[in-house]
Amino acid sequence: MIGIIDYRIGNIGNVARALKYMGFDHRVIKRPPKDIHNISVLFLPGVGAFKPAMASLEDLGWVDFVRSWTERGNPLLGICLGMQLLFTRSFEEEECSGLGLVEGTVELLPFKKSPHMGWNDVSWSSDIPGVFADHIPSGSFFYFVHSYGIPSSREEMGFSMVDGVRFTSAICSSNIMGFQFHPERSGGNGLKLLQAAMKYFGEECPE
Amino acid sequence: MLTKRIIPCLDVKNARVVKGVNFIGLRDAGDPADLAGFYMNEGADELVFLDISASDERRSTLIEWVEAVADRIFIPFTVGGGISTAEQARRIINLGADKISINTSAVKRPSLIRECSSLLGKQAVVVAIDAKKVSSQKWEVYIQGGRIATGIDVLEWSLEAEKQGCGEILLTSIDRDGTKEGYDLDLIEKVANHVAVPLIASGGAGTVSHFREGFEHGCDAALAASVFHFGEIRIKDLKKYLKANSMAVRISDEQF
Repeated sequence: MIGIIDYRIGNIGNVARALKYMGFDHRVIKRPPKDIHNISVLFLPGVGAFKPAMASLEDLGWVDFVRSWTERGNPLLGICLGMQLLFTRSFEEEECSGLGLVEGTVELLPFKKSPHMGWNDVSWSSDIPGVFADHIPSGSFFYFVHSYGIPSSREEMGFSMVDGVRFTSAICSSNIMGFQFHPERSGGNGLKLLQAAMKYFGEECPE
Repeated sequence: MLTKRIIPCLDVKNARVVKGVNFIGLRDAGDPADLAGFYMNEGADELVFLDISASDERRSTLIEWVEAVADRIFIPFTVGGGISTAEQARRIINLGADKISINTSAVKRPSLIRECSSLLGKQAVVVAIDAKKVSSQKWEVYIQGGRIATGIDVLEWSLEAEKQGCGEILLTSIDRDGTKEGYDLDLIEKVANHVAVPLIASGGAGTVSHFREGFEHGCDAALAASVFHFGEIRIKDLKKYLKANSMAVRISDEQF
């Protein structure tokens, strides 16, 4: 079962709706669960500002839980702000530490217009796992809304360009994955990508 | 490359889409969710819904149709109409809308923009501006559905809206709305050069070339209603035309 972390930041309903549409067994989790045996993949969604999000994760006891979850090799998928939170630190407004699961920083990206809002293409890295490249061609469009982002990452799985500014739009580091865009808002491509991600994590895909 | 967005706009009254929608093969042309699904399959990049119900009716009907739309589509949608507090905005976002749009209430109390964006993130806050031309290079902000003049300059208000923390501006030309004579290109260009948030142009689209002109004058997204609702322009054809004219658009062949 997929567990969606509800840490009171933004609307998580649409992530659940996308999983429901595809037939994935999922549950919204408000507190770190004591019994994790029935959870196979954790989703960390989120929109809004980095610092309050991190504070909310901390208050609700998620920071330690998520760290030990991933240390044991369990799968974690971050979406939008949820991807940014995976990194070492953010320079949004004031400096703030992140979950530190992936090395790198979150910075204000020098777009001419901000937020970067709309459909943009994602180019896959050459070493992307086959399960993604097989189902979603490099250059497919996804829906973005963000001002801050990851300028570059060693774990880059895909990148995008705005006005000549290149940034990391997807990451994959064995059991940790992140998308800067919103797959749950990206039509058929987004649903296909979520399916591929679940397949990558060994989750059974309903037909 | 970031693509130019095409956005159909739907007016909703008492949970029904109004102002004429005329499609062959649509089960229920008045159902917001059915129409949302239709437009998603047509290749719309986003949808905007404007609830024009009286406030008592809106309170009781909004819940059912916003949730139904969220259940049906996997593209972003905005809900506007009668939002005057950040708490009302939050409720709509929690029902599954991606953004809310505010107009009159933001003009009356600009801090509402900041309240909404600190609660929901600026990406969720669209400020809608109804603009009427008063001289060759000057436009005035109108409120209450374009009925009441405010004396406020459109450029000043758009900058203030950005400062207060909106994530996007939806700019409607009252002069062009419903005329099918094309967008007010001077207005688009002026506002696009004045603010750094994305700009949605609205009011006047009648042909595919009107959309191209709008984008050439600096808007990031183009909104239209009747040309889509009456099938005069198919979004798929419009995007083919824009692509043939070297504009970045998202072509999709998805069916849900």
